[in-house]
Amino acid sequence: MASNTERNVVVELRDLKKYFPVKSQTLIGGMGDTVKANDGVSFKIYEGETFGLVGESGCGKTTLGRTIIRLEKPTGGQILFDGHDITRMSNRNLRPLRTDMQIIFQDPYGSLDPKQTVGQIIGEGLLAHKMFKKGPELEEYILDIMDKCGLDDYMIHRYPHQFSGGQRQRIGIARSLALDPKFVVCDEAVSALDVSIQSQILNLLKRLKDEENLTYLFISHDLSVVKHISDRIGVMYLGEMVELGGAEALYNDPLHPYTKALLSAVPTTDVQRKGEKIILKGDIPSNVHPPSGCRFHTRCPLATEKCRQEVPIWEEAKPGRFVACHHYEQTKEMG
Amino acid sequence: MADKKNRKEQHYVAEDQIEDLQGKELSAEEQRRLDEAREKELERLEREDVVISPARMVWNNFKARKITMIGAGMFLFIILFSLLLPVFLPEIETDMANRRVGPSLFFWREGHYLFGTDNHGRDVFLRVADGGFVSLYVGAVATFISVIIGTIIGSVSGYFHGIIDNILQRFTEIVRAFPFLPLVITLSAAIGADLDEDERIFLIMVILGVIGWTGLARLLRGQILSLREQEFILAARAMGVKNFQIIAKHIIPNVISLIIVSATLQFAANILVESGLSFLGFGVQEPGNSWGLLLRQGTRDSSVIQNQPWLWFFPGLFILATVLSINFIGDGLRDAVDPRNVRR
Ligand SMILES: Nc1ncnc2c1ncn2[C@@H]1O[C@H](COP(=O)(O)OP(=O)(O)OP(=O)(O)O)[C@@H](O)[C@H]1O
Ligand SMILES: [Mg+2]
Repeated sequence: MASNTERNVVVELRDLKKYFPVKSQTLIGGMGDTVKANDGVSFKIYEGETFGLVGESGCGKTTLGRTIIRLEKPTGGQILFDGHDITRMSNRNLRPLRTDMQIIFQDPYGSLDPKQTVGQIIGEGLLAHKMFKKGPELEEYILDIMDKCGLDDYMIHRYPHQFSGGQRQRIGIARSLALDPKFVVCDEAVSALDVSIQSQILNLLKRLKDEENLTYLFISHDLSVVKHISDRIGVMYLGEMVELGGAEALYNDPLHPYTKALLSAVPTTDVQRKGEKIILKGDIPSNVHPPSGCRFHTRCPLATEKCRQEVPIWEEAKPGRFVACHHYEQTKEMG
Repeated sequence: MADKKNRKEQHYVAEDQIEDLQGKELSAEEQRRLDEAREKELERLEREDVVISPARMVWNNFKARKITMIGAGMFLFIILFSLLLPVFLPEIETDMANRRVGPSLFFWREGHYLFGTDNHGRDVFLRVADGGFVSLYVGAVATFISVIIGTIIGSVSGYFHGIIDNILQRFTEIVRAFPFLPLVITLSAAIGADLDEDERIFLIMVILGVIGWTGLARLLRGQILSLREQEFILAARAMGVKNFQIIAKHIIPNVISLIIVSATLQFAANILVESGLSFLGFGVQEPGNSWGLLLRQGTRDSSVIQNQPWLWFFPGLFILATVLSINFIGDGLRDAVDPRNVRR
């Protein structure tokens, strides 16, 4: 990944923070605690790559994906999209940029309005941005997109309830591609589907990426899916990014103990990747009052006194490999 | 050609199987059969290129239930009876020669009346038809008022949650807790005497409307709160669709059925309350006319109750039939729009 420096940066995050207020029980609602869904995340996504994001449920992947495209207002830090600082940009100024950033959702049922036809769903963004007027040209364009996404012409006037989960996911993909975006967040885009359908949709996403010059942020809790599609992978734990690196490198030689534990839990037929499954002790700690020092220390087999007290810095351990761990040299011997 | 016919039959088999199996506790074998039948149905829809809109689906669900269709039929009859019939019938006149005549099936003959006459010799049939108009009218206008208020307050509360929501909710609770019956009775006693008949009816409609919206507001608020978190709303926001467009294109179409159902049930409730008030003497009064008032006049004292039962029986029957039929329709609608009852 030495060529990274010359490639265009589509998204750059600098110390991004997103806190949610904890719902208070009182009527007036005092200044309560906050859920630290994202707490200081920094990385870049380069043009044309698929950036995989993994981590346990609740670690803040969805929040990160939504904050990047400003469906949520960030609490702190900075988001640069295609050179524009969109951190505090008003909705009105964001509107023209919205065609460049899109999202594909997990739930093939909740993500399509049951009261609209497939044609209306796909055409909505085009009409909102006045890229087309209602009429045969719009329909032509919609049919074209549908065709690319593996949907037949006759489906255009049908309603979502008439489709299977995989087809619905194709409709959601067609909707986000209609605006001809640069950057697409795929939030667990295949997690709700059968395994056989999963690979179809993954292949579709791969093909579209090449045809349309897309950049993906591919979010999933399923490491095998992420590895299959990603160029680089970021691993999140409790609102922070703990490791980032090229997909192959990270997979073969995890630097963070958490990454190693996650990988050991992936069922594999790969004979070379021998080794026991590493079982993490304890539960995921609260993200309202996260542990001191390294957030992972409560569950880490390598934890020492230092981990309890000092927050590990985010450093480039090897070229293109970032990690936040005091003892990453020892990860190899772990397990 | 034969092939086509064969397919048609196949699909009916599949549809029947789905109906037989739906909603029951199923064994693994039956579950498999149900899945298979569903799959066949989907395939058929594919082949025949059938487009089923959500509205069409609701209608299919609605007419599938007998009791709902009976309700709809009854209600249609009552509408014709009370709204249309009075236009063609003669004026109601007092006729001292024909007082307190019992009901008769030979109503076309001189001196015979289908529903009998009251103690001024007025034809009860005509009075029930005419009174029905007032009862339905008052109920409908009151419902209209409360639907408007409830929709506005519920939607605003749900869509712009936070402080606005908090204030509106407290306000809703206050209105809910308001002792409404004593208020109407006091108002009616205090200013009722100074009002003419139209003003009284107007007052009743407004009061019924102004207190009746809280249920709908709460229902809508909850629905919209969960709707706005739905991913299709997020998708629209991600595409840069404006707030106003999101409300018009996504929120309203998804709650309109809820509003209609709620309005139907509210309508029935309003007819009952109006009848109750008039029955107690705090609603419509002479020279006005409504089912509640007729009921009041038919139960003036025990001798009237015993000797002229037709005076209370017919208005009572019509109140009962109206409220029942509207409730049947409302329940049927509620089931029909419930996404869990998908009948393709
Ligand atoms: N709108 C919100 N209000 C309050 N808390 C929220 C909100 N959205 C997310 N959170 C909290 O932020 C944390 C991170 O949630 P998020 O959905 O981003 O996790 P995730 O990694 O996507 O999990 P999953 O794998 O289950 O999708 C969770 O603790 C969640 O409860
Ligand atoms: Mg998520």
